[in-house]
Formats: sequence, structure tokens, C-alpha cells
Amino acid sequence: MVLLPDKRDELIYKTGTTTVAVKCKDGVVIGADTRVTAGYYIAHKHGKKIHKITPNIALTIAGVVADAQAIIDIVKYNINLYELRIHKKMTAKSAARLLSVILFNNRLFPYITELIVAGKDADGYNIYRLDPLGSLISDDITATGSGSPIAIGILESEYSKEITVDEGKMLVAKALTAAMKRDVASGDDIDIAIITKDGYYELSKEEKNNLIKDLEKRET
Amino acid sequence: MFPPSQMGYDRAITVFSPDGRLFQVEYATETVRRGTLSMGLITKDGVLLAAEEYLTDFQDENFSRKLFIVDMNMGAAVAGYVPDGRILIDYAREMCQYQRLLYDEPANVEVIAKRIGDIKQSYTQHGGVRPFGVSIIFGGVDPDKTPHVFVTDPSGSYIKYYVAVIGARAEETRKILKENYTKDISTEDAMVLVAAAILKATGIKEDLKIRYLVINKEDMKAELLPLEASIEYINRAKEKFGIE
Repeated sequence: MVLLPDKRDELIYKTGTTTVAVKCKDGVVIGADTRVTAGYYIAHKHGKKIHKITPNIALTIAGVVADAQAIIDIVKYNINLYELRIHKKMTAKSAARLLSVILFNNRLFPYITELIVAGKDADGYNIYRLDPLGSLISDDITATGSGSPIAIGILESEYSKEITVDEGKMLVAKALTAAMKRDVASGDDIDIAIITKDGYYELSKEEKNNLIKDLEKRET
Repeated sequence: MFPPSQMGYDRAITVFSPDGRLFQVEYATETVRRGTLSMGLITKDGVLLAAEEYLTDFQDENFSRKLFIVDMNMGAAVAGYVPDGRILIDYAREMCQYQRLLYDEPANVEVIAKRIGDIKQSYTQHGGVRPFGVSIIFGGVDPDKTPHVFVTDPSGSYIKYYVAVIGARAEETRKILKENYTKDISTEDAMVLVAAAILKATGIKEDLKIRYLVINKEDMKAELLPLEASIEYINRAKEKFGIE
């Protein structure tokens, strides 16, 4: 079946999800909702969209679940081999470039995914965003998925380069909850992870609840 | 029919002799031992590669036969059967570019030395081929700005050095370097030392030709110096080490 251009676009951009990342002074904060959709059906309410690739690199996924899971397996395979053969830790920059090459090499039958790579580089902490064909963009704030237009609005209006990880967590929570309120394909719960000098850390249920409570308190 | 008992074990390289040797590989190593001198040193500023070069009449001095820039951060010096080296250097260049393409970073020196070693090893195990008759010194600066020097030999093994010397009269040269080399030597001083070592080891007084390749630790740039640059260092070496 030949997909018409508009149909193809629709397929590519159907990424019912909200994932965000914020670059902070002392690390990065990564966040995502947990809703997995299949059309108008919610297939899972606690899907995992933030993945620890190495102790210093996180990957968020959006898009077709099978494609995203395949990408995670492929990138882990390659990074493990790299670290064993070269005797050094992969940087987020290299992981992003690797993903970009993999995606571009498959551009005729693309992996329908929007990815964020966040983590440690030689010059500090960085975030990178990839589209299905492998375009690679580095930025201070980024969001992917169907809820991203809402999330990015919040991030952009409140972000500053001087932000710390603690403030970044709050900002990420705010952007995610806003997107989840107005985007049907995002919702249920949020996951937040940080990468700092102590490595990768995923926030516990309590920590997330406290964060949301603080947020509500601030708004009223 | 076959009087010497070892007859035949040096014909096919894939066959061990009864006492566990691969003669063709040993002959290839002998080629290196008879090649002209090349060396690589780690200095406090980065890496220095140097090679003694023979020039025939009317040969263009700007053409480097034994020293190569592999990537921005890496150089190589060969000794032995130089054309074999050229082929391997080209593989190394491709590997460096592939590392940049796939990971957006320069390659580590060890990775390139190991992979070239892998290629050399495969030529000691397959039929219908002969081993590469070269040793190659890979010198360079890793992305984390640490300098490294590795030597690959015809068998495919690769070894890390502070000071690597390959080719004819390597033993004598090494002895002279051993007396004067310290890990905190500057590249400038190392160039004088190398010239002195080659002067003493080869016994060549006039018309000695040395080519240098310098890789600076800070800017990670490999630079091939023109042949006439060595004249100054040879003169300084003669003065400093009292060579007449």
C-alpha cells in the first residue's frame, strides 16, 4: 500500500505522548507521561517512556511502541560494545550521533519515533532531540509527542539558563501536568528522572507526589 | 628427498613448525628489523614521531614516505616494507573517519592500533596471503587530551610505549634514548634528543635526513614538519651531545 503524503505525515506525527527535557546548571531533568494509546484506546496506564541507557545517559521515547523498544535494544547493544572495546564511557553526544546514524540508515522504512537523549558530555550536561529520519538538534529545552506544543509553551516561558536541577524538576512537572490536562493522548501519571554528578536517578512516587503538591500550592 | 627437517614449514604461513613457530611471520619481522629507523615518543606537550629518511637525487623533499597524518589528532610512522604500511595507514584513516561519523568524536589511538593489529593478525592465519612486512607506530592524542604511542608488529600484536623505536639499529637508538629520556621532556628537547640518537646510532655525520611529526596535546593537531626543519635540530644535537 502506498501511503499518500498526508496519510504518511499523520502516521509519523501520531506520537500520543508528552516527553520533556530541561538542561540545568548542575544536570538534566527528563520527564514523561505514562499513557500508552492504541488509537482511542488506552492500552496501558503506566508505560515506561524514560529509559536509562547508561548511568549517565537517558533516552525518552515517543511514537510507535515496537519501534521505540527496538531502538532502545539496538542502542544498548551498540553502547555496551563501544564501552567494552574502547574502554571509555559513552557521552550523550556520541549516543545521539549513533542514534541519528541508525535512524538515517533506515530512512526508507523509518522507525516511527521521536527521541530525546539527555546526559553527560565532556563539557557538561546536554540534551538532544531526534526525529524519525535522524535529524539531530541540541537545545536547552525540548519536548516531543502530541502534548509537546503545550509543554514547550510552559518550558519556554519559565526557563532560564541559571536553573538548577531542583527547580528543573518543578518546571518539568508543571509542563507535563499542563500537557496532560489538554492533550487526550497524554495522561495518567508522570515519570521524572534526573542525571547529575551522582548519575541517573528516577524520582520515587512520594517525591513526585510532593512535587505536584508543591506545584498546586504555588498556583493557588 | 627433504634433507633439512624444517623444510616446508616456511612455505605456507598458516602452518606451524614442530617447535611452534610461524616462519613467514618471523621473516616479516626481519624485514622490519632491516628497515630504516622510525620512532615515537610521549612528551609533556603531546607526541613526537620521527623517521630517518633516505633521499635519492632529484627526489622532492616535501614528500614524506614514512610519516603520515592519520587524523587531526593522530599520526603514524612506519618501518619495514613501506608500501604495505601505506595500505594499512589508509585503513586507519578510514577507521578514524568512521568513528567521527558514527560517534561524533575522534578515535582513541589504542582503538586504531588494535584494529590495524587485527588486520595484520588475519594475514598470519589465512591461506594464499603473506604477512604485512611493516611495524607501525601510532601516536596521537585521545579526545580526553592524553597522549599515547602504540606499536603494531607484523604478527598483529600491539604494545603501548613511552618511547617506541623500530627499524634498523633500534637497539642502539633505544640505549641512547634511555639515558636521556624523561617523561617530562618537552617536544622541543625531544626533537634534539631524537636527532642525537639517530646521529649516534647510525653514525651518519653528513646529510642526515630526519622528518618530524608533532601532535600537540592542547590543540590536538597533528603537524608534519618540512624536512629542512630537522637541520636546526641536528645541529643543536651535535652541539649539545658533542657529536663531531
